Parts: sequence; structure tokens; C-alpha cells
Amino acid sequence: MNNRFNELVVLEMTDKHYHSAYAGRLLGEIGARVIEIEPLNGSSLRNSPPFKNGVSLLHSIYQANKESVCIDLPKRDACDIVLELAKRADIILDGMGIYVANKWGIDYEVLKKSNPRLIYASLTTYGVNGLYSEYDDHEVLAQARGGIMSLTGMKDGPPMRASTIISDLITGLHAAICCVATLYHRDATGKGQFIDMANFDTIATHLKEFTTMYLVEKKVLKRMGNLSPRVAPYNAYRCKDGYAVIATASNPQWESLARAIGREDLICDPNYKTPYDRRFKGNNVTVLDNIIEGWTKDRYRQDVVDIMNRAHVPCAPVQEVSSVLADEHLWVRDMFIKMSGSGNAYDCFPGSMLKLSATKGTVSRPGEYLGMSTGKVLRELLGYSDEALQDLLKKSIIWGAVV
Amino acid sequence: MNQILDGIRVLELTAVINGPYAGGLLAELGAEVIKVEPLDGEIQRRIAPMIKGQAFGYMQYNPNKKSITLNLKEEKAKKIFYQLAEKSDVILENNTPGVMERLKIGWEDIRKINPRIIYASTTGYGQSGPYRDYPAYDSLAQARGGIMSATGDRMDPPVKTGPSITDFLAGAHTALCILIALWQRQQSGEGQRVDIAMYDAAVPYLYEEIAWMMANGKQQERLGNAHRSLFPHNIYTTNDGHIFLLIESQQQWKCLADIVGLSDGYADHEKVKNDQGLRSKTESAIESWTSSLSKADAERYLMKNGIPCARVNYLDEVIADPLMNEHDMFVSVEQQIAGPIKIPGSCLNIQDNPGRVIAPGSPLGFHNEEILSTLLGYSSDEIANLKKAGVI
Repeated sequence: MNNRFNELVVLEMTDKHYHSAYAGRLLGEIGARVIEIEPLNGSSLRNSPPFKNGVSLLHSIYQANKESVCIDLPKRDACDIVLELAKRADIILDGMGIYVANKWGIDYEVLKKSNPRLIYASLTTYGVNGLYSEYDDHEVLAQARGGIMSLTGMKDGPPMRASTIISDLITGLHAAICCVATLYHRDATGKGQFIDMANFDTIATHLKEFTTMYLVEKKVLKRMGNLSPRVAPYNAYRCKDGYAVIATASNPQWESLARAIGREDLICDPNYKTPYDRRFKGNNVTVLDNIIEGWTKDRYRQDVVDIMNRAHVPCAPVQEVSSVLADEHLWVRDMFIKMSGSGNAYDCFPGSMLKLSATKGTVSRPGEYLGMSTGKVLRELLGYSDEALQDLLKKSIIWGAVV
Repeated sequence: MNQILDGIRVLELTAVINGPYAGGLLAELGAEVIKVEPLDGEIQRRIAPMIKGQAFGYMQYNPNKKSITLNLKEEKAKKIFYQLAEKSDVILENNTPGVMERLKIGWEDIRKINPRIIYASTTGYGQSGPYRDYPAYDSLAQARGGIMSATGDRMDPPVKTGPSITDFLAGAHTALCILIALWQRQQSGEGQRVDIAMYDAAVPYLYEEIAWMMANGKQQERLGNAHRSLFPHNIYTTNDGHIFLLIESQQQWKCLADIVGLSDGYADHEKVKNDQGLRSKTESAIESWTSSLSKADAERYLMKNGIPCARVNYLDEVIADPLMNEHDMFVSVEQQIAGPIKIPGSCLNIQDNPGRVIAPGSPLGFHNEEILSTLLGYSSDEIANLKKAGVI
């Protein structure tokens, strides 16, 4: 099947947020030509640890498959280059913050005049309507304000941040969804659109399990460690050498669990009749968790997992990231691949989740060095001559590889 | 208002969160999503809280969808399913691998009758790999996927990310793949098979931890609310909860030090950052300042002085936030039996054709007659017989 994404040009402007970077990575995985436009000193992402051989590995991963074009924004001549590129582009991913593109004269209202087919996705913490425009927009602050922290952590402990830039990830992902939906629509209308993605909005749609209890019963659920808000037993249990999660959601699973730990007597106990009883009636959840942990704590994690899986009780080890990187399952599914390119070779590099039979997502090279494709892109898309490129380089309008 | 996926028909055979979330996104964009359920409904229909017998969780995870019931073990039900598949663009399912094939409604079965079909499966571990047949819930994917081992304070046991993040990530990546396949199909005329796994989602979720492993060969210690390079970067107690603040520049640092009353000995930010004693005295100085204030007052004052901060909101506060109202993130809708309810809206903000939540999930089998008669041309007698025979 001919891959239509190969004909697409995406311009990505990413600063300190990762949402636009993830959206760009997804479009690049599926085959679009994604051009990362960076200032002379590189994006914040490029300057984020951890580093290996002087290269930010976060940049390598998020900017995989992309071309780096380095221009000295917001100099007027540099902005003009963006205007020219935007005429050739299908999608712009703007992750620079709400007023930046406007200030530089390269916002949607300007760009659509010379390219009505352009799809322009703005990715911001609170959206473009300006209600919270004075707020500082760190991802972790969106987690705090958006309620994720109130739901993460131990029951008696403080609110906890999720371990990653969770709201940037989901915002980038939903921005990619909107971009592809708009491409589909553009086939019929011939017109692009403006997309206004906000971390705060995407967070709201990811709280559904918990907002239920508030919307129905005005009950404010809070963090509960590894417990489920609905059923039990369902927790992480201490083993001799780590933890294993055992998760039962139905009576048959509960009965198998009770048998597997030699406590068939619990099955007939009317006190533990339904998942709801086991979770919420009296002190049941703690009593049962203590019984289960009494059984797991003298066993090795893998033995617990094996016994439970044989008994058809949903169970998984709490794996360290090192074990995840070595997990055969993820290698079989190309979620990890070996990678060379851009002067760096990696024994293990994150692959693509986009598994389509005819046009699957692929990751073919890590993020580029700063400005590695400056000359290539300007020549191929805008027809710049070698002399013109040399001239711009001399004037410090562009930087990087031009010949 | 016309919507982007007007005219696209999706048959959805899903349960719980992952699959329903994917179908919900397509329905928000205007696709006609027909949820096909067993006669007693999917699991989510039996989970409290209920409103007039309608499960609230079901209603909010299945916005804008129609509901029909089919007992797919019956030959007559299979025939109905094939007829529907012929007239559909997408099949979306999140059953354990092998189930659809055993029912003779797998990818190979359906593409024979409709080569344009996009057939998307989203499951715990995917259609390949050694764990393929394992049951999976979000917690298990978070555990095995390393997310728990990277979350929480190093003194505490590993802890999961509160929301069922791998469910949502798998669902949203599935919706993305379906849209990709639809766009490709406009040109090629051919459908595709989509295979998404919750476990795979741990990989993009953990890019940062993976990068750290690639750089240093070992996992970074769990940091709780701390940051690898920024300090301060933490929550602090207020008289009514917590506030999160962080410092990125010498200028912000100087300002904060003045506010919380740290003396000249603390002027050099780099020095403080690298001295355990000064760090812990800084933490207590900040907390003794915040602890006498409400989080709203602390936030207002710090913001006015250019310190990046945010109150730690609880769900009632999140829902009451004026921005949520401004963006229609919680909408009032009406269900055929439950009546008027409020559920989360759509975050797919495409200017002229935004995603919309118009209706909550429908009562079980509510659209049986509509779909069978108008779409497939069954007579009311035939439909009554199918009901009697336990097919629908």
C-alpha cells in the first residue's frame, strides 16, 4: 500500500514541553517528513539530561526520525524562512507557548493566508483562550492543578507526581489524533484547521474512574496506593525479592486466588461474597491484604507470578526498568529495537506502538544533531542555492550543515 | 453541525476502559459507533454506581454510542454480525487474543466479506509475544511495565500512577491508528489490521527512565516529588492542603529566599543545591512559610512574585475550576433511562469540527430494532423471533 504519510511535511516547534515532540514523533513514525525547527542554541529538549557522548538521550528518543533545521528565531529573516516553509507544510505543531508564534508573526492567522490547507495544532497547558495565560506552565504543575497528584501516592502519604510527563504525553497523543482526523476531513473540504490542545483538558478526560464517584455521590476519591477504587483483593504485595501485583476483579478470580494460597475457607465466608464487599465492607480489604501478603512475603516474586498465572489469577511482577528493557515480549513486538545513525549506536531504543498491518509505524534513526538538515531541507523544499545558504550562514540566520 | 467522521460506521465489541475509550474518541468525532454486547451486557454495565439501574461508568466511557445485543454463539447472530460488518468501516475489539477467531469473526473472516474493513484490536499484551494470552489490567501493565518501580518516594513501596494510564494510552493510540488507516484507505481502498497493547504503552510512558538506563546502565532512584536537576521541586503543606512549587533560575531563587526569609548565606543557588544541610533547611523554611497560608493565598502571592507554582487540587476542585467550565469539559447530557446527568466532555478541540459528547452510553440493546430494521431490513416479526430465540 502506498503510504500517504510519506508525502506529508510537518513543521514542529518544541521548547520545554514534550507534548509537541510526542505528537511529532507519532506522525514521523507513520512516515511523515517531520522537521524540527530549533533556535541557534537548540531546543530545551536538546539540552535536557541524561546525556551520552554529549547527546541528550531524551532528544534522541523524542525527535527520532525527524530532521533538525536550525534558524535564528525570532530574527525577521529567520521568521521569513518559517513563512516560506509553512507554504509547503501540511501540519504545524506549535509547542512554544500561547503568545510566541503571534509575537513572531508566524501564527495561524498569518500562515493560513498563503496556505489554506495548513493544519495548525497549538499545544499548551491551559489552551489558547487566555484564562490562565499568566500561569507558569510546567508539566508537573498541570499534574498538581489537574488532580493527578491527588490521586497518586500512598493512602497515608503526600500527593505524588506521576513518574513521567504524563499530561504532555496524552496531550501530544490527542493532538496527533486531531491532526490525522483533520487530514481525513481535508480530503473533502480542501481546508486546514486550527487545533487547540490543552493539557488541562486531556487530564480531565483521564480522571473518569475517579470523577464518577464525585459526579454521582459527591464523594471525592483520593490516592489509595495500589488499591482499586472498586474491587478487592487488588494490590501490590511484598515478596522475598520485590513486589507482585495480584488483581482480582471477579468472583471466579477471587476463588482461584483463595485456593492458590490455601485459604479455600474464605470462599464460603459470607463476609467476602462480592468484589464490593471485599473492597468496602468493614475492614475487609486490610484483613485480606494481610492474609495475602502473609503468603507472598516468604516467596520469590517470580514464584508468586507463576503460581498465580497457573491458577488463572491476574498477576504480574513489579519490574524494574532494567527488566523491562530486557523483556522478550517487548522485543518480539518491536517496542525495543537496535539502532544506529546520527553517529550514535544504541543496543536498545524505543520502537513504535503504531502497529498497522500495511503501514506500520517505524523508527529508523535517532534525533539529529543540531542543524544537521538545515541545508538539505531549505534546498529540497524551498530551492535555496548553495550561495544563498552560505549567505544566510554568514549572516547567522541559519546554522548547521548547509553543504 | 457536520462532524469529521460523519458517515463512518464502527462496530465495537469492547469492555471496561481501553476499547471503549478508543470507540468513544471516534464517536466524539461523529462516527456512528454501534456497540455490540452479549445479552447480559459488558462488565462495565454491572459496576456501581448506578442511576436507575444504568451504570454511570458505562455511560461516561461510551458517549454517543448506540447499543445492540447479539449472542454471537448463535449462528443467526453471526449472520447479523456479518451483515453489519459488510456495511461498516471499522471493527474495534478488546477481547483476549483468539476469542474473535473462535467466533469466526476475526480479521481473516471479516476481510473476506469486506476488504475495506479496518479491524482494530486493543488488548493487554497484544496479538504477539510470550504474554499474549495473559489476562491484563492496568495495574498489571503498570507493574510489569516498570511504571510502578519508577513512581513514588524511594522510602515507600512502588506505587502506580493514579489514573489507569495504560488503558487510556492504549485506547487513544488505537483511535489514532484507526484514523491513520481511514486516511490511507481514502486512497488505497483497502483496510488494515491494527494491533495495540496496553503493555507496549509503558514504553512511551517511560521514555525518560529508558533514556536514563541507556545513559547510565542503571535505573534512577525513585524521586517522589523531587527532580533530578531542579531544586526546590516539591509539594509543601498549606493550612488546607498542599502547594507545588519549583525554581528554575537564580532570579526566582533569590525571590523565593526573600519571601521565606532565608538569609544571605543562601544567596548562591548552586551552593544550596549541592549541600544536603542547606537543602533540608530550605525545605523547612519554605514549609513554615506555606503552612500558615491557604493554598489559594500561597499560590497568589508566589505567582505575583514570578515563582512557578500550582495548588494540588482534589477532584471537586478540578471539576469546579472555571477553565473546565470554559472548555466544556463536563457536560450535561440525558440518557434514555437514567435521565439528565453530567459526564466528561471531549478534549478533541478542532476549531470548526470539535469532538462533542452529545449523549451518554445507551441502555443495553436500546437500538436493536432500529439497527436491524433500518440498516438490515429485518421485519418486526423477524426481530420478535430473534428475541424469542435468544439471539438478540
